[in-house]
Amino acid sequence: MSELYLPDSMLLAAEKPGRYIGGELNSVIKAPGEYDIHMAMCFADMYDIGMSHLGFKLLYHLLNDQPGVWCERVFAPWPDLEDKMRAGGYKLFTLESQTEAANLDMLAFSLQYEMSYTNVLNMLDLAGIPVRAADRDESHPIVFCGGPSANNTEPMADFFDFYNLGEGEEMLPEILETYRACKQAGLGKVDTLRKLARIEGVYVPSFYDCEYDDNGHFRRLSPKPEFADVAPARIRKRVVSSFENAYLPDKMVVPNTEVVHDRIMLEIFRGCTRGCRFCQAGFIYRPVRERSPERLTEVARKLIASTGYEEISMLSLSTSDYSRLGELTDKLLEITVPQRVSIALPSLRLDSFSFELMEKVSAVRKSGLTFAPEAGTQRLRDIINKGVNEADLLRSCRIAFEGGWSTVKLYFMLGLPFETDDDLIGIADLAHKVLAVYDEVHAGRKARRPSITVSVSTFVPKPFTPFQWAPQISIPEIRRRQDVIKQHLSRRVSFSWHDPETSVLEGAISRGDRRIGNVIYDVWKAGARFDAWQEYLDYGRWMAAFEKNGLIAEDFNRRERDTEEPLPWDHVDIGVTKRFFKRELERAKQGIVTPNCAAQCSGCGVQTYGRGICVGQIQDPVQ
Amino acid sequence: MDKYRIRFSKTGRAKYISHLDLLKIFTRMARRTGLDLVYSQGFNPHAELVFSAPLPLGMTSEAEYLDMQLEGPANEDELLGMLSGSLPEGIVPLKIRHLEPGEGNVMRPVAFCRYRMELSFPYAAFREIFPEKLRRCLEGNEPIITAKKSKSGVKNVDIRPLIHSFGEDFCSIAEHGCVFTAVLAAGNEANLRPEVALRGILDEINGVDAAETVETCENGPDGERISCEIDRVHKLEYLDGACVPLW
Repeated sequence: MSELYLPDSMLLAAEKPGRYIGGELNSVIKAPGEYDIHMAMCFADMYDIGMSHLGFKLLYHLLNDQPGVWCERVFAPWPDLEDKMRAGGYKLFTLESQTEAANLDMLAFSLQYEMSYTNVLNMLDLAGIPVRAADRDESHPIVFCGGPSANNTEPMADFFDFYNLGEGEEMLPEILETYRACKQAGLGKVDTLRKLARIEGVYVPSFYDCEYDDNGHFRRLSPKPEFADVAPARIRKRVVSSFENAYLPDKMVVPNTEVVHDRIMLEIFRGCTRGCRFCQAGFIYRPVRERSPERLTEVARKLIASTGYEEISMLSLSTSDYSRLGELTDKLLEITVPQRVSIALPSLRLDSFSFELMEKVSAVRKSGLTFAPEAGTQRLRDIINKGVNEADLLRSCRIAFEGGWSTVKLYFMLGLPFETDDDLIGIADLAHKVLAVYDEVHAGRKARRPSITVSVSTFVPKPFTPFQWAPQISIPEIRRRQDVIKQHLSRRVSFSWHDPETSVLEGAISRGDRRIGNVIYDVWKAGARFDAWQEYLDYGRWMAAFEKNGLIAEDFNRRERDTEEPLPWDHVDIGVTKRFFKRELERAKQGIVTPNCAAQCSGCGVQTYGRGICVGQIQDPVQ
Repeated sequence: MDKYRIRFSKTGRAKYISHLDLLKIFTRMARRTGLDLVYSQGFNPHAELVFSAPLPLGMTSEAEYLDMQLEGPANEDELLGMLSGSLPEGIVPLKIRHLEPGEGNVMRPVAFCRYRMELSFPYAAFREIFPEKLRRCLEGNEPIITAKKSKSGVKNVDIRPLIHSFGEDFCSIAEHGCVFTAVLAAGNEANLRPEVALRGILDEINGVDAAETVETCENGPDGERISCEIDRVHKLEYLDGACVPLW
């Protein structure tokens, strides 16, 4: 057992010392002779959040299952503790061996959301590592990243030595083998990166130059001449060769202190057939691939035995689209019921089949049901390609109310392209119709007061979606539209909304180019950290950093981009083509719905991977 | 249905695991090892586990207790073997015994707890005079007045009656300080938390003989100058007029 890095006096004064001590069941300790690569998976938020991400935990175990690799975990200390650490000269440390992160060979960051970017810089700095890749040399760890928000590589390009674009299960073993060969050969940092750049899916930002036009807009990103032999013009994301057989750990770290998602997570399929036009996850995780109930049940059995968790949650973007959901549920119930393990089915589309399923697993207490119509009118739902119609929704609510439910949460987005005030009023109308169904079901009887909540988030246009060219609305306009909904909403419906500043900043960063790096650097220098936490976000500080760098945030988030304009993420090939996104944008303008992949292939381009649902699809069927 | 009592230690990193988290940790351990715990009836069944009184976060212990109910009888040695190595680092089952029907549960009030306190001083001079000061303080009769939290708020009370005794070798000099054991009242009727006792004693020592004290020395255990590690060694009960360790 290693000594703890921080003294008792600091740990006892921290909010939850359990976050900093490691030693959890199934965490991995290796002896000195057992490894020649010492690395860490890093999460740019606190323990409670990072330990709730399946991908983070999965890759941790995958890395530790590679021969000769010891991968530890590093999280951002909560500010109460960080301040004391800095005052006492303490550095960022790993949980397992409780050593300083700067002593490791490699640090791998999982980038999940833009508002965690300042934490990446802050963690590197706390580790005593120069935050800019250009300022690091052979004495420092190699710092790289992957994850959904890494797909637009540019805003954080100054800070990472390289990017892992695509599925880590496929790429990381190759990356580590190459790194080991470089380390054994005694190669310097640039030569190591040259070798890594040859791996498909690896992007080394320092090997590329960016150009901007006279209007200050991004024009081109291209390999520097001296690296043209190793740096490809476009980097194609990697996907696992077989999703069915892809690595799945049979054990998982079990936190000693409660985290947000504290249960077994079973990823039943990856990708989404729906193609909602606002949803980045729906495109970047394509092709759609399922795992068999047999494999999933086997993994669930092993995970129950190794973790003792009391709950299993099925994980995917839209659980109802799993083709063998009933069969999987039955198979799981066979092993979970005798062991008193419950099954959670989040992300269900609520039809009668789902209600049967929920009854069967008794997963949902009769307290909360959620629906995500996303937009208030059929016109706008068609524009965003959200295949929900009002009649279905009201029918589901009726079944739910008749079954004893009385709490319904309706999720919407505000600020969608082509949205008008009628669509906002439509949100209120829809909520009132749900209320009317409740009253009708309980007519003439004494009934519990229903709890109907309308929750409205603000649309953020994201790269790799048909709306990647769309303008975002301004902060005052977001407030005005929130007010429109509020004014039309009955007092019997509660209303919750998102802070506009966060959405607008996300908008500016997520579609940013490499120049945003200086903004992130300056705002961090000015004290920004934990921006994803509203109590720490300072919008004025961000605006000052934009100004200092001669950049205008509106240029990135509010400007409507021409579909012919070069985009800062054009060099990343996620399989889905720009041509498809343009076509989808056109169809959105015309309010034409695109069928889901299971019904008909729309030729998004990802068929070229020849995996999952795409197998056997022709190249480009929809014109 | 069979009841078993486990005595376990909670040391090292595990001293930062909260009492609330222990319930989950043991329930999950049972599922992993295939122990057939008895669950409560009702809409939200939970495992029938009863822990001894909570240990303050940051304190280690050699004497934590848990009563658990199993659906059927089990061999005690095998049970101990199953539990060992199936818990997070720092939580170690020490012994297990079958409970006879009618035996009271583990929450039954104990009378005292024995604590081992390890003090670290930065100043060698103080380290050497401390044991003698401590002895003089404890052999005296003056009240040891210290602030003590209770349900009705913070009050100044004399804690001397709550200090039962000290270990025979009552204060030995360790590398960076001193080690001593103290038996303090514990339970529902009278309770003295070890860190409160320590603060009172240190105050008293400084107050009685301020001239001899190193001036800069603060009255730990929270102060920067003196640090202290407290380990609960035993829980004790009164049997035939003597204080004996609980099993």
